[in-house]
Amino acid sequence: MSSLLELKNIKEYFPVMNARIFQKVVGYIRAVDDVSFSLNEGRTFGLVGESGCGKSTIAKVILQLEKPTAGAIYFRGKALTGFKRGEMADYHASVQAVFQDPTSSLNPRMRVADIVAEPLVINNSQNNSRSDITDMVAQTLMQVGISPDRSKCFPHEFSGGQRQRIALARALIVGPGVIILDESVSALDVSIQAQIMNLLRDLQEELNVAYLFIAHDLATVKYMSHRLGVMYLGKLLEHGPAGKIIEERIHPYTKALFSAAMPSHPDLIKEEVVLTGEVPSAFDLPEGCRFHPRCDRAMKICSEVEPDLKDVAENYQVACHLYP
Amino acid sequence: MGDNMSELLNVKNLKTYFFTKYGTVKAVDGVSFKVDKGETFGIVGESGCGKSITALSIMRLVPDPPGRIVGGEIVLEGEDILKISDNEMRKVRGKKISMILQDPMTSLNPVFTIGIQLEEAIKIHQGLKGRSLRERAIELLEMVQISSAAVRYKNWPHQLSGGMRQRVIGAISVSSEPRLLIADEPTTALDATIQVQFLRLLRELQEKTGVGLVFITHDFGIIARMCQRAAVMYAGRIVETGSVRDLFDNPSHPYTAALMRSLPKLEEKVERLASIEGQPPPLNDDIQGCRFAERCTVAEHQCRLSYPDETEISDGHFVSCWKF
Repeated sequence: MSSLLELKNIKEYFPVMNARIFQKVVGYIRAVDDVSFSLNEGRTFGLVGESGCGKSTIAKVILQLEKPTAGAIYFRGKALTGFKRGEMADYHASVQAVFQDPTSSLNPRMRVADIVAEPLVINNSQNNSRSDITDMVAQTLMQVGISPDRSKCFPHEFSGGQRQRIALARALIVGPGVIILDESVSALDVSIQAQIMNLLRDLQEELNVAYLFIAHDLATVKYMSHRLGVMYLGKLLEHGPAGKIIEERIHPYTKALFSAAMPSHPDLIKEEVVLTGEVPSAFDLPEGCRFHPRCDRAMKICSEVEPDLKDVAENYQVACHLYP
Repeated sequence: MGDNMSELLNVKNLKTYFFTKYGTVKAVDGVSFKVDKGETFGIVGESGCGKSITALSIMRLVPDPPGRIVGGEIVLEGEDILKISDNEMRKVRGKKISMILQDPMTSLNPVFTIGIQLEEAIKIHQGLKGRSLRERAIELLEMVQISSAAVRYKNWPHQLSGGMRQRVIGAISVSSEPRLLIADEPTTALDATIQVQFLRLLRELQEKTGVGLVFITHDFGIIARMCQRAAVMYAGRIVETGSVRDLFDNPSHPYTAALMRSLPKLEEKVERLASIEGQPPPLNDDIQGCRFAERCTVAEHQCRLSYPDETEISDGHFVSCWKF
């Protein structure tokens, strides 16, 4: 299994200015702080964490919508910074995204056929003719379970689940290697959510596409992911095979996060670990481990030294002074 | 189901319709359920199934026009609140019945401090003034675990985090010691760890005050965690009511059973989720039969002809399906 997309020590700091006339940088919001992981062909990497932990900023960095402050992204083994224009265009075609709210990510004034065709028209590396594009649109729509007869309709004529399928078709039409799914199923009802997740898994099997699955709902992440990263305030705290993390939950934050998940049966109710306090601001991070003010197992060293990700098993890393 | 002594709320055959230029939308079409004193009753369903309109109907806050309660009874402690005048209802609302809504950003007024908003509720319903008013407000803030309540009392809503705002709303809604508290997706906008904090707080408030809780959610996990009994709604009607254990161990309506199978679970491995094909019917269609028939795998001719009556399949477990 080769690594398709690799993030190495990605940092994304947003400068904060003071409110005077001559603006001066007074500090940084450390949205993403030294995050590394890789996406493999035909596999899903799940990213979980609470709001403001930097999940979506990572998505933006990968999509090149934000330039990382530091660190590098490698695509098929080559650093993005060294890409020439043509290569960059290929990269943009290879890395597609589906966002949370299909109502706002589809242009209400465009017909579905045009929405789905647009990436292909912009990035027409194969010089497809008009009729080719029409065929491909019909084919892709079929793939996601939308009847091509409806390609002349507008987005508002579809239900939420169908709109998400259209957004997915728009991502698929350029034959991407990676699709970033940023809370793509979060806004959908349970029964529709299951439809879309099954569709995503079928497509992955068929097309060998890699997913970065960003979500806050642990059960959906579990259903979709092969590997998992748990983020807190811009940092990966635990990173490894999804099944293992869900079983072992080594980091105290992972433990708390999973115990906060609602049970799937009344018999499975357990005493939750209730975290005290609120998430600190990413502008004013605590010294040492960023989780220590809320951690019930914090030691002296936790408030002084920030722990690095260390191997606890093969391909399984945890950033906590308690381990290994 | 308890006798009349313990009965707090009895909703009988409630019908709330919206009269629009596209026809009559039967948002709630014959909903009946009972809530005992001190009980937590859940209403679960997908978006658009009428669960929020049921809540608004109990508060008599359905926007009129276009909406109107066209039939049924809502008996609160022996009194049908659909029969009393608007003025009398104003005294019931907030005093006997309170409500917590989903979005803590919009349910507080941004231009008043939380202290003023809390005092307003106490002033109206309990007639306190001056120092005792203020003391009561701070006491309530302490009750919902707002730290340094005397300082927070002077804060504006934007100075609080989402979880704290929701707790302030919790404080306002229990300030008049209501008999019934309706919580409409109160934790949907909150992060998992904050959600757990808030749910625990609600349980503690309930233990202290003995308030009956109607918990509206789309999340079966919250039903499992919080409720003793629950109803499953689909397209404006309750399809199944029972103890939480009945619903999880023996989901009898095909819709409930299908929903249970389409839930991703954290605790066990699910090879493939069963999804429910299709989507709920538009509510302005005149459907004679069971509303789920179109998506039901076991539907027969009878199901499309007329709506099935509610059948009690075991003690307190009601199902509306022709199978029974």
